[in-house]
Amino acid sequence: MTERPRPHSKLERVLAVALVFATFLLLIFTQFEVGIPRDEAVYFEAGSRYAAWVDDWMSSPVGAISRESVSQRFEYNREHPALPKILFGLSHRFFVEYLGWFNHILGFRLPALGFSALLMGFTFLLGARIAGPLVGLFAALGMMLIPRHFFHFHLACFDIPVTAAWVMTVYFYLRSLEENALKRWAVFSGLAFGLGISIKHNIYFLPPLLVLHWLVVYGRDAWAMGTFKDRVKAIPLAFPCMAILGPLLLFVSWPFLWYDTVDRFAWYVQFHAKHVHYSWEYFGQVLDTPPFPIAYPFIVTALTVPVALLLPMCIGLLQNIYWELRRAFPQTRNVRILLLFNALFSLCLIALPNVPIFGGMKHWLPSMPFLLILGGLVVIQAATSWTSCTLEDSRSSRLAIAIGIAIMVPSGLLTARYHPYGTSAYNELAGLTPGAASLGMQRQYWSSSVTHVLPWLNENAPKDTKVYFHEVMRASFRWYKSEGLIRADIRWANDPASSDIVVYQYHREFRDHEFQAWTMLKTIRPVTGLYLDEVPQIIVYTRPVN
Amino acid sequence: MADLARLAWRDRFLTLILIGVAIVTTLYQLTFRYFLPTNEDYSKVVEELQKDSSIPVLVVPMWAERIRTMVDNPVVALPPEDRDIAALGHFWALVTPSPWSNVNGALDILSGRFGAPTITLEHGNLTMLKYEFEVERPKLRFLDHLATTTVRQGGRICPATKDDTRHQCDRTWWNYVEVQVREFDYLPRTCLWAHPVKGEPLSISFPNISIGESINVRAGMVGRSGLNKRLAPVELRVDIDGVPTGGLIAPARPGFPLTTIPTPGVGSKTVTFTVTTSNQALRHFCFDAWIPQLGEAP
Repeated sequence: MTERPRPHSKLERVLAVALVFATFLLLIFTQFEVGIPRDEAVYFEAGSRYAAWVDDWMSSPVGAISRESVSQRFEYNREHPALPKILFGLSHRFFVEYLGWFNHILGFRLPALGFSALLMGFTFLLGARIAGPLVGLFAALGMMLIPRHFFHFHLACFDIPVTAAWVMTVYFYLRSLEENALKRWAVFSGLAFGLGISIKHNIYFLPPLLVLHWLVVYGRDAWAMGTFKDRVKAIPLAFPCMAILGPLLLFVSWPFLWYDTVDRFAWYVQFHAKHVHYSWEYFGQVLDTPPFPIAYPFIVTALTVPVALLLPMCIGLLQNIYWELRRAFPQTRNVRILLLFNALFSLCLIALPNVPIFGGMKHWLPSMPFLLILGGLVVIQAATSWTSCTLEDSRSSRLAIAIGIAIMVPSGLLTARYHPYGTSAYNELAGLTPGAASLGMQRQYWSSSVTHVLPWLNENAPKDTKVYFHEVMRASFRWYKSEGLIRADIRWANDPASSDIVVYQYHREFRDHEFQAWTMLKTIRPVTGLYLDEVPQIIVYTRPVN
Repeated sequence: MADLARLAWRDRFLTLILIGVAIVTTLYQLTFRYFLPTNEDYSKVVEELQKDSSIPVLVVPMWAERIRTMVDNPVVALPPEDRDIAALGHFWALVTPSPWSNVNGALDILSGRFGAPTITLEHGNLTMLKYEFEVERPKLRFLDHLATTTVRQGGRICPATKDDTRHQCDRTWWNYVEVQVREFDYLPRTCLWAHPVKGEPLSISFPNISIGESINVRAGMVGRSGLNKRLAPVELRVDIDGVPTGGLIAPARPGFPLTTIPTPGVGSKTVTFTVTTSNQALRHFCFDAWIPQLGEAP
């Protein structure tokens, strides 16, 4: 780990751009199989409504920015900032309604795929900046080749975009700290942070984390400076940039805040401060209410990240904590502390007993790029041990690449195994899906795996059948229909009692829905389903003909 | 220098570990399917089960329910120590291999309860074990006699449907009495759905019941309706020939606990269960009641 106040090499820039474009193209093709999760259906709807604001602008720009117009257009899903949904909606309008190039789902998802590609690019750049392109490549590819990450990469949601903004902010912040750094890096860090808070709230924690990093690493030296003015001048420009540009960008990109700003922002903060807790299965227990187990995020990470990736990540994390405690390698302390703080923060935040734990691992996604960079450092460390002490030796590089490939093969296999059912993914330590089921872990969530049984329904459901799609949002049902994934005559049923077919998503806390289907349809024998390595995920019951 | 050399060796060992784990996990994934049952294994199991489709199938581990899609046999997914298994009399235990599942422990529990399996068949990666044992059935299970009951709510008759499977009361669509399978503690239980309405006692009368020493009742709030502790409890009262004999209060919490209500005398009586609540919100009440054989433990 060395600080290198230099531009990225040509190779690094080419690799970064290649990663961005390759990721974007790959995701375009792989997203077709990914169903519409519950939250995404809401964001599609919000995107449509927000994009309709364009119509107001066309008819009357003054009217468009009026309190009535803004409040009406942006009231829906006000619990999250508007920017990503505006992008989803505008993309859908332009590429689907105007150009007619893509289907509806891809139309909404394109901006999110762009954020996923940016996450790959900036994870690479951050890793490369810290320890060279091989570490960057390891971290970026590792980020994608975790089955649950790969699933989230496709969605028009906020978790990957905010992780991208998080990595971008840290990258620009790090560059702004380099000797003779250009001021633009500080400005970029402010803009990246503004982008982040315009996407999702968890990135509000980042500036305090970076301030803490600066205080720990440079605080003593800054304090030792002679005058108060010198001390103030020592404060990185990135901090005032984040403080000013962040809120400014949020305000500009979220029209709903243009009126009753304080009240509406306070409501937003309140909503997340008192977020409801959804049920989550964990070692045979259905966790409904806090306090939740402190080990939860660490255990779930240990059971879902491919073991070949998990191992260097853990070694890197523990080794760097050890080095920090021993005050070893003081010349790399800046980067080490930065990586450790970012790697641990989101995990530790979710570990707090009263913080909501639903959502699998998506809430601590911002930890993962940093853990992967730490893992990449371990790979380099291992590779250089066989030859000279640096990566400049081509034999070391080749060995590092070989180790990296060896690690990426099982990770890629696992990712391919679970695509597009990423919410069901468990690693080798868990014993894949059957082992996780035996351990009593959450089997899946968000209902997107329903796509597996749609072809069967289209082929076998009688005309005008009413189907109860358990856990599927009605909006998702409509989009599936409009995309031709569900036959046009199939009708929506609100409950098992009013349905002819029940498509049940296995959730332990919703078992009663399945048993109701038994009673209402007078059968306990499913006709089909999605069984991953024998484990029931989606179960379909039909009313017997007689 | 010695330290550096030691560190180099440690890191070389690390290389081997990283590559070793990568190879092992790759092989694990590539070979995983060989540990799972094949379609051929299932065909043989189905062939065996179809010889008598009335024999229940207990799946071990509990999640391995794919066999449901293949046979008409009742498939039971309950933990091996569950009391309802004892009422089956005989069953096939179908064992699917899985990491982290304590199959041997489950089979030990079953053997401890019901004796050694009488037949063991291995079909590829699936194992079938037949358990046969004496079962002392209850003298009478009330939900088997719903067709003969009279259901009233607030004194008004709740008429039975044509097939006698449901007595529909007049307040709202969920206001009925019916035998259902519902969830208690995340497990399926057959019970009598009797959602009460505030201020209008819901009574279910079973005439000509030959009573014994006691009536056993298991009752509770279905599924998630038991999670909200601020909701009202539900009271179940048992009358015999119009005389209050006992009862229970089902609190607002999950579970399906057993209550034994001693009954006076013997002979043919009318047993009435009356369900009431002070607030009907989410009172998804369901109960199962039976008369045990004389001397039978609850």
